[in-house]
Amino acid sequence: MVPQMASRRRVALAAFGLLAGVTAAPFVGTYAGHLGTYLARSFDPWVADSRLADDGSVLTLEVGFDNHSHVPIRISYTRIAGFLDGELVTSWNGSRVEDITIEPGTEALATVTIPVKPENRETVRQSLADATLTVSGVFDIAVREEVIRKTVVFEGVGDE
Amino acid sequence: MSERTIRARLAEAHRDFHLPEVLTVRMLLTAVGVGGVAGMGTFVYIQESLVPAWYTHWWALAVIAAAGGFAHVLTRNLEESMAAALLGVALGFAVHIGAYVSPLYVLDDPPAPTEFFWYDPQVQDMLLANLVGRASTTAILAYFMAFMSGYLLVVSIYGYILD
Repeated sequence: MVPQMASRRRVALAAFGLLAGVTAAPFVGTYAGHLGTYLARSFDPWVADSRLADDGSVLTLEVGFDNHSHVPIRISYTRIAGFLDGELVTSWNGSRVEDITIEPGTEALATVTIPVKPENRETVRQSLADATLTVSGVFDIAVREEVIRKTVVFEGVGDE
Repeated sequence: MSERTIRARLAEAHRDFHLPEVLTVRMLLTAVGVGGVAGMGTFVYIQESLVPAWYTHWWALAVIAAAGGFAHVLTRNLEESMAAALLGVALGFAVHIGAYVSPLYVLDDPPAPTEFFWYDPQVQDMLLANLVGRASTTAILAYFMAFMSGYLLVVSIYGYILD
């Protein structure tokens, strides 16, 4: 009886090993493919330029977006959060459109115009001069039709 | 019910609690094994476009169900197999989610300066919740149904036919 049970257990273990093997093979192939699709769905915003109006009332940022992926990325809405909040005008690649689709391997440039409140103007001017200004941008980004809202913090924005 | 009776019943329940007996190396190994296989099967199940045409999602569901069945076959008794199945089903789902989101962390450190192979913490943070949600919602129902169907089928066969 006991040898029979041991034999049955060995058969079960062998069958399970076989199942694990035939599962692992397609899994490895699928995982490699999955990794491939993610190789470059990266998103990389940076502040390309910053300008403050002479009277300090308007801060203009040019924010660049790289699409390192092989799928188009659509950026549909942008606003600036934090102490530099308020109404702003955004243009994409120089056009007054609300959203832009960035094709794979290309980049887009958003021009963000931020009104600066009178009480913040001196702070902004000094921070820009020191390249220590921190700006939080909120972006709605659509990757494969899935919209993700994300706050991105730009640190060290300056006039240098 | 008097305090004495309650104390007696609690003591009796404590005596009958067999958790240490269930937490055996065999049970843990079985849970890890079936969880690993079921997790791999689930990952393949939702990635049908990346596998050969002959490997349809039915094969992947069969693998998940078989993994559930082995939770009973590889353990000694019903108590142990239930623990292995419950732990295994949770581990399997964790394996699936882990495999699905892992590219964000596997591709975070490029081997050489390049524009194409990185996900910095900002991007990881941005995509993580989205990917976990997508991986969960696309597989959760089929996964649990297949795993538990396989497990319960084998338990029934063992209980009513083989024994």
